[in-house]
Amino acid sequence: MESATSASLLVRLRDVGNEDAWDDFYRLYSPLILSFACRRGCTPDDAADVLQETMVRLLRTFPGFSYEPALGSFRSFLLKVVDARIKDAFRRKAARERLSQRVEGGAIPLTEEPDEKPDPGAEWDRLWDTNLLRRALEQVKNRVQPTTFESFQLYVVEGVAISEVQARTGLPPNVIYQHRNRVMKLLRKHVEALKSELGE
Amino acid sequence: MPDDPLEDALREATFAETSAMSGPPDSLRQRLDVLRRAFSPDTQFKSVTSLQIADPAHAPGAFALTSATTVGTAPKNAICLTGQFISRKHCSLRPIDGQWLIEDNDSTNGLYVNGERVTSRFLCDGDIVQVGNVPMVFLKGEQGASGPSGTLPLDEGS
Repeated sequence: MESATSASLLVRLRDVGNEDAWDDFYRLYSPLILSFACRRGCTPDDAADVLQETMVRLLRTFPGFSYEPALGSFRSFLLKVVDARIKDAFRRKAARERLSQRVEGGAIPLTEEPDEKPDPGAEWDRLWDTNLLRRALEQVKNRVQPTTFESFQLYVVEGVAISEVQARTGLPPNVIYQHRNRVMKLLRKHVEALKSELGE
Repeated sequence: MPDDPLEDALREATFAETSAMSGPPDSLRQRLDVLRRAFSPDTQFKSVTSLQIADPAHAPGAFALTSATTVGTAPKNAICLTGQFISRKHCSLRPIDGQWLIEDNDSTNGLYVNGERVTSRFLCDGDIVQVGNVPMVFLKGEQGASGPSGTLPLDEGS
């Protein structure tokens, strides 16, 4: 569960000693960073290194910063940080291969960098939005009865026909609709709260 | 019933892509405390690549890395450590094309990075290097890393 505070996550991260804030950030964004790194061609081990280096970069950046939306979104900034760490991961991979082959001299080629995907932003945005929805859905799941969430999951997320949802859950259609409305209302609230935490 | 964009997004989202990766990084999550401590205001050598002693039980200290370096208990090591389970010439570090390679020098008790025994590894920013009973954090120098003073830097170099 996220720490209860009205301060935005970006502000709380200015204090590197704020364990709750950094833990919240890690739980919220590590799946996104790992998924993005893997989709850009990293192995799971290299993706874990990208995540670590990103966290370290942010630990350097946040103390004393002030957020200026006019300079760009945090989403864009984080993409640049992660993308630079992915390039570093490919450099380490090239260095490992060079070392294992005992090849001497010359600069390390960056032949395996994912330059065949010139617009990482589109993929980043898609994964960012998915990650945010996933996180909000997890939060809502913890706020409603299991049967409420189950009927919502079946009817809305999986697109199961209402008659089938009724057969599986034993709930009448009007209750299924009520569950849908309640969860959607909560979901919107949590999505907005998560966006607000990151100044979006 | 009218289409709801949020419902459409829920149906289209491939949650498996992001949720499947949420398990493995627990080890890093546990190391975050150590990493956060490494960025205390009195951290030395922030601008250059360094090894920072990361255990409050040991005297605080940091070693700047500028060229090939050896680590061990023997006085002639550039990084001379005192502690348990440390060999005289325990391990060495050297820069290769901008990356730092750490190698175990056949030490008695081994070299550990992020809790795993290794014979060699190209170090990542924030790696925790364990030599005997002395844990150290590897931190890359901050050259070109800071942005306009007091604002979130948005021009991240590659």
